[in-house]
This record gives sequence, structure tokens and C-alpha cells, in this order.
Amino acid sequence: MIVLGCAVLAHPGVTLFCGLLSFLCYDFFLVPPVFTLQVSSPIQLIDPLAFLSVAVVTCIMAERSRRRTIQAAIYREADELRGTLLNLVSHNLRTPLAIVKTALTSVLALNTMPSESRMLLLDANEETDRLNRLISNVLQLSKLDAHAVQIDKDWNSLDEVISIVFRRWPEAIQDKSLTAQFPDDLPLLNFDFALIEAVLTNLTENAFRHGCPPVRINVIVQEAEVWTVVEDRGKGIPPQHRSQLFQPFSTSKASGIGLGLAVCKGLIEAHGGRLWATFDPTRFIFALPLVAYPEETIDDASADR
Amino acid sequence: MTHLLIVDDEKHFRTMLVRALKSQGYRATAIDDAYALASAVAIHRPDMVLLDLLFESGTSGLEMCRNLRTWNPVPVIIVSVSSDEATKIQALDAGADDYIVKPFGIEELLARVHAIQRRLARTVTSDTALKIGDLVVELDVPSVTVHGKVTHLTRNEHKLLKALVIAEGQPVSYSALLSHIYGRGADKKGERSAIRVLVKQLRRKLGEDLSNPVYLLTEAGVGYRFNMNPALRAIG
Repeated sequence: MIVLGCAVLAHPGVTLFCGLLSFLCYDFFLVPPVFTLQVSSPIQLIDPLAFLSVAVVTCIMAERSRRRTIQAAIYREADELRGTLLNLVSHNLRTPLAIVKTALTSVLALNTMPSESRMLLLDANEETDRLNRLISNVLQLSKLDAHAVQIDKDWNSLDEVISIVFRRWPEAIQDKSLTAQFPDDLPLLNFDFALIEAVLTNLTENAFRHGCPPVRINVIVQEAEVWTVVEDRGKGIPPQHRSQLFQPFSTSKASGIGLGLAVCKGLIEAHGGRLWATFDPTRFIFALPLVAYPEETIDDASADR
Repeated sequence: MTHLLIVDDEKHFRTMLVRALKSQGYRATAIDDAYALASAVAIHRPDMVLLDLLFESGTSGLEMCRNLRTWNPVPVIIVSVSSDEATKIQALDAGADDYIVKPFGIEELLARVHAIQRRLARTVTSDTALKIGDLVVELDVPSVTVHGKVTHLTRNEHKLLKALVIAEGQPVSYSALLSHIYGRGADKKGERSAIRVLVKQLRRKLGEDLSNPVYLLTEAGVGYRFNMNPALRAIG
């Protein structure tokens, strides 16, 4: 008991000393011949070893748990600090961006300028949206690094995610350069809506920027998984870039900073899924586990049929 | 001329938004702290308030919105950098009519302003059916006419459709829908999926393209809204 107490509360040296002391006491009071430190048979030499090893083991265990507690406290503090910083950065970057975006769209809405100038403003507006998405990516990546992304899973439908992603490219929907196909009876899946939306937005944007329209999103059920395939008609990714594709800051284009794919992979894996690419034509595929939807939750929806 | 009151502590954003709204034919007044919201509403009598959530002074936009609701019905649109779902739900619970996340395009903001104006203009009505684009939604009978063809709705589908249509383009939260359809306000996650299943059924009956619905729009993590003006496309 004393050994344990020392291990938890005091220095490892004290614990070892207690181990030794308890052996000596045991020997002095209980081992014949009693009241001496002598031993009558070599078998009794096992006892000091047992006492010492108990002391060493408890000592190591206690030390480990102590370090873990201290480390957890440090991580917690660092996470809190990081959270505050991320919020600050996100606020400070988004506010000027908000000014630029509202100003640009206001001028565009007036509809009073020659078409050349209008095209310039449209480009600027598009890049503002891209900058906003990049900020989201950087924030997401630093959260992933810090293991600070909270996965908030719920039973969601993938077609609703697609519909939200589609709203970002209304022109592409109009001219059919962005289309989607999914099974009519696609079940609800257990995932974090906002995070999967971020992944699909990233993959779709990559397909438009680095590939070539039309961009097609196909959802298929593959055994115990649901695959979402994002495919474009571009020239594909140069072979030398393929192996590094999912590394942060790797990119095949001088203009990109290659954050998106690293973030996407992290987010999908955090869902117990996989993200990979196949080439010729370029396809990015993420698989989410197909888990049976708990029956009791649909009772209400089907009760009144 | 519609008069908007902007409450935001970012000076440059405030000035730009006043200018942008004036260029679109609106009257706009701005103040820098929600603390003065009550007096500003009393003095300027705006038609709508655009309210930020967080102020450097420590004032909470949500709290000021809640206070305002106790004595004045002026519509409030929350304008914030936070795209957090919980914040959006809190905003609706605090009595805000809508919210918009910065950065946004002016047309998005104006679409929301128009939606609120349409709702206000239509408040006094004893209609039993509403015509929205290609749809005629029956309010008393569980059916809807899509492209002239009458489709029967289940009781719950009809309740869902009615709750959304009555909100006239404003977002309706999951908890509001749950209480409307099942008579309970609890917004547990498992229960949200029941709404999602219903929405899918209803979208099919309305003839929606599921990847690009025109009428029944998802407000991610918050709930749904009904697009009352399908000629103007979806608002993010």
C-alpha cells in the first residue's frame, strides 16, 4: 500500500526505497529466523526480487499516467488557444472579403457597364468566392492537424449534400456541365453534413479548375460502402504528381496550393471512409461506410402512409 | 422606399453596405453597436434590421434581438461571419427572421429582404390554396397540384409542406418542423432523420430534381425553406 501511495504521489526514487524497505521489514519480522536480516533458504531470495519488481512496475505505471495527465492538460490549453486563434483569423480574413464581395456584386447588380468591364468584375467575384473557400480549407486543415475537428454525425442524405454543392455552380447546372446521378432508393448515411459538403465542394472545384467540364458526380452502392465518384474530362494528372496527390501543399498547378485534397482525405478518414483517385479519366472517389439505418427512427416518417 | 437599419461594429463593412444598399434603391442607416438597437429602432423606425452577432464591446446581437422581439415586430436578418449551424438555430430561436453569412453577394441579401417583404404583404389572407410557380398548394386538403396534375399527400407530408409554405420563404428549423408535424419540440438527432425521409418523399411528389430542387430547399444543419419565387433561383 505504501509502495502504491508513493508511486502515485512521490518521486520514483522514493517508491524504490519503499520497495526495498518493505522487503527488509518483511524479512526482519516475518521470515525465519525472525528479528534478523538473515535468510534460511535461497528460495527466500525471490521475495526481495518480487518486492522490488512490484515497486518498479507501479513506479513506471504511475509515472506514465502522470505524464499523460500533464500532456493532456498541455494539449487542452494548446487546443483552446488554437481555437481562439482560428476564430480570430477566420473573422479577420472574412470581414475584408465580405466588403469586397458585397461591393463587387452591388456594382454588378447595377448592370450599367460595358460587357468587358462586367467580365472583369465577374472574374474578381469568382476569385473572391475561391479565396473564401481557401480560407475555409486552411482553417479546416489546421483543425484536422490539431485533432480539433468535431465529427458531428447524423443520418443524412447524400442527395441533399449534392443539392447544396450544386448551388455554388448555377451556370454549370444550367448548361449541363455539372450533373449528378444517384440511385433513387439511396439510403440515409451516417455522416457529418457540413464536412462531407466541404469534401464534395473541394472535389468538384478541383474538377472544374484542374480538369475540364463536363463534371459528373455519380453515387453508387458498392457492397458495404457508398461511393461518390467525381469525374471530369480533363487531360488528367501528370504521372509525376500522382503519388504526392494527397500530401498538403502538393499541387500540379503553379496557381494552386494543394490544400484541398489533404483536407478531404483527412475528413473522409475521420468518417471511417476512404478517398482515392484513379486516372484516365481522372476520377476522385470517396467511400463512406454503408451502415443500416436504425428502423425505429423511420417509423414516424412512414407511419402515415 | 424600404428603410434598412444596419447594426455592425466593422466601420468599413458598415459604410460599404450603406453605400451598396443605396445604390440598389434602398434607404439605409447604420449604427455601430447593438446596445443602441432599441433606441435606433424607436427613432429611425426601419422596415428591417440587419444585425451582426458579435460586437467588440461585448454586446450580444442575439440578446439584443431577443429584447427587441419583446416590444417590436420589425423583421431582423442576422448578418454574421459565423456559418456555424448552432448559431443559425440560436438566431432563429431568438426571433430573427433570417440570417446570412458573410461574405455574401448583394443579390442574396436582397432576395432575403424581398422574401420577408412578401410575407409581410401577404399576412392578411384567408386563401385556402397558394399558387407558387407550377404548384398549387392546398392548405386545408392534403393535396398539391403539380403542373396541373393533382397529387395526394400523406398527412405528415401535408403538414410539412404547409409549415414551410406558411413561413413564406423564411427558414423553418428542424425543431419547429418536428413540433408542427409530430406535436413535439424535441430536436434530437434521430428525429431529424424522420424529417429528412419525409422531405425526400415530398420532393418526389413535387416533381423536384433531387440534386437541384427548385422549391423545397435544404438549409444545411438548420432545417428547410420553401422558395416562394422559383423564377428567382435558389439562395445560398
